[in-house]
Amino acid sequence: MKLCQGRVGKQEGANLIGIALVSSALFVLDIAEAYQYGNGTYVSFPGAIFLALVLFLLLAGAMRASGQKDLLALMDFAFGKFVGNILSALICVLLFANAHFLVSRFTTMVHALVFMKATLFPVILWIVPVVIYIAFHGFECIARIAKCFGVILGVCLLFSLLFPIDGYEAYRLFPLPLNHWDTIAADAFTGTFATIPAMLALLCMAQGMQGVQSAKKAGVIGAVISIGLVAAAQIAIGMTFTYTELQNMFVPLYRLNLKLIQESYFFRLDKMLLFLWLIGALIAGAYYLYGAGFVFCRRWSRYDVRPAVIAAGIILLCCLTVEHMKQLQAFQVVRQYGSWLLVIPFTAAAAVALVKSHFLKKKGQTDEKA
Amino acid sequence: MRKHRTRALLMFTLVLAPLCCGCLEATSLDEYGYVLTIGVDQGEQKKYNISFLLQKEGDSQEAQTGAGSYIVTAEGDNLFDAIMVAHVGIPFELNFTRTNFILLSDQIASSSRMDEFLSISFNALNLRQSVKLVIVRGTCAEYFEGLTSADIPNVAKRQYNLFRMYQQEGMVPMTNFTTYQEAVGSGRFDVAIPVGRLDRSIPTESDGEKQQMQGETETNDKDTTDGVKRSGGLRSYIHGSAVFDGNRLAGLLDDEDTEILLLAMGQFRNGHLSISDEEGTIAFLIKETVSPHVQMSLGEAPHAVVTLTLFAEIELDTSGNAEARWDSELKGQLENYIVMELNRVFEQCKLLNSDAMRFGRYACMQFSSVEAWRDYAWKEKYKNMTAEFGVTVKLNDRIISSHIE
Repeated sequence: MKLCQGRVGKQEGANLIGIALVSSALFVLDIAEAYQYGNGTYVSFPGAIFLALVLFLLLAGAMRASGQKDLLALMDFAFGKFVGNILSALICVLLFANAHFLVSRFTTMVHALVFMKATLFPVILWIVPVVIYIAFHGFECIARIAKCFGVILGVCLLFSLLFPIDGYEAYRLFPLPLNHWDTIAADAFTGTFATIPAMLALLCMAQGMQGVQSAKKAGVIGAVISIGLVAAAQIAIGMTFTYTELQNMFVPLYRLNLKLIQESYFFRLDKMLLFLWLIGALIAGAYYLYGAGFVFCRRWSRYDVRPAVIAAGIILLCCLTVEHMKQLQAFQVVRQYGSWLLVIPFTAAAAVALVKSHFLKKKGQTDEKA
Repeated sequence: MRKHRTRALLMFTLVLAPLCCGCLEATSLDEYGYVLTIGVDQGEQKKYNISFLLQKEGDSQEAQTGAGSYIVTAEGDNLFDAIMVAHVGIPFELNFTRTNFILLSDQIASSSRMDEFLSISFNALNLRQSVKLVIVRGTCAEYFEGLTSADIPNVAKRQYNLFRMYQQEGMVPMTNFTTYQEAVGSGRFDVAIPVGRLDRSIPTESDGEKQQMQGETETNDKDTTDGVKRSGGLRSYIHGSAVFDGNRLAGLLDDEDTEILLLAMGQFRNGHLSISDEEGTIAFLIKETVSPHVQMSLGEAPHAVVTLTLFAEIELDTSGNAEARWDSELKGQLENYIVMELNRVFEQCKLLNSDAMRFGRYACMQFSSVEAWRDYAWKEKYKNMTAEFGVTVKLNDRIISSHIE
């Protein structure tokens, strides 16, 4: 089988997970509805990553206890082949949907903020082939690119939060949504549709990560760093814009320096930062696209992942083009119910695998004694 | 070793990366007219008469030596209309990437047309939303004419320096479009925007030449720099502030009132205050380095207790014993004067229904939900608000103050 998986270490995995989670949380989850009851996104967005981390640890624990080498094997072990097929298809679809959400967001951003005079289609044609090209080269290539850029992107994000520090005012975070903890928790749960797939894909490619243990460490490091970065970015956004402004704002992270009165050398860095974030989105998009192709090939015994990646890329291109003309309902359904589709079956899979492996161990011990 | 080489190569590539920045195709400065300031007046045929102040670019003799700016004016129902009309008569494209200021006439600012005008897509023009706002008494077209001068060709630098200098002296607030939008959208406070004026007693350059030829000078005592005679320099100047009630101009404050307003807002940096008694006049340089401490109690009539800590340096002492009298007399006198002024300006703003001192910022911090804050209707309650000001002035350096030179 030519799955282009290769072998990477913890650093590559952590960088890849970090880039994917930060990109998805900051750019996919950031929609006007998130600010309806005040600004609690500095809790709900990192909360979505935290919930993904909890599920990830649960699944990694179940894989270790049951001795399964990757997530696909764990699903077969827990529910059998038939349900395993359905869950694999679900991961495939959600990984593809996340690639779509991220690339769609960035094509709109680049179009609206940089190439306004062009139509959206050339911008899509400019971005999507790069995503396909990176994904085509496989997991090792994506992870190594992530390692090259991970630290640079993280530092740039931190700097972009530090430059406009003079414009931050604590009162803009108020009124604190203290009466809406339930809404914040619900937002965090709903947001897992964008954070869980990245973590699940890592477990699917556990062999390429040199085993479950290595994948687990990489996932934990990446997720913890992402929680910190996303919380810091959302607090910075909250201290720059009130919730009423955020309800009507497209990509507030891009506009952090607008409240500065005195211009500085860093005043016009926003476009440069946008292209840095675009690099992150290209890596994350390629990871999701490759992940979808990988799960499909691995599950249904396709021998080469590359045609699957190209096919997924072309479908992505078509979806983005169609979405430009008309909103695709299917993606809205994923946005709304994706978290339920992920949390319930995969938590159940982990629980069943843990119980099953426990009984099998017990049975094994009894057989040994007998 | 190989790892180090790879890292070094990567770092070298990163260092070289900025060299790749530039234009993809041939771009000539002559193809663009860089708009430094947009001025919006009431139109005659259309809704607005929009003026564009442009910087002259390139190698032209005028750009090198003459007045480095010129004005293009066009009427339109919105900015895009006016740009279309302006483009008909100019051999270049208007470019807004360097626009730093939007000037609005007081007539526009007093009507709903200001909001209507500012609701354009700034992205569509590459116009930054951090652009500063100025309200002009009279018309912006006249104000622009007062800004052009052959002696100081770089109009962008001139205008910005003028603005910054005044702001550092505590005579004008600085408000950009995003802050205005925040104030209008969130309803937590009202903005104070600097006011641009014209000193008609200062002759224009063409007038000056005529006067020299005719050997006579005419001055108009009515139109001076805020009532004070001035000669030389630019006709246009920025002085005082325009306070808003939501999105409408509510009234004007002079430079002294603006100083007091900035003190209460916590945006005051340096400024001068002088007090006189029977022993002489003492002028102080006042500095606000600590933000005001505000305690709010809410209810039907909100009440604020504001405590300010200021630092003072004696700049002029005709009595000769200011330092010796500081603790016993001058400190209390200065503090009482500032408290009295704060109360007066607060009442003035309240009368205009403008929360220019931004008490709403502190009020909203006491609510635990958006609904409760909305239901409270801050601007309605503000009408009944009372404030209590407390000021402590500390002498910055007693040795410097007692030994001025």
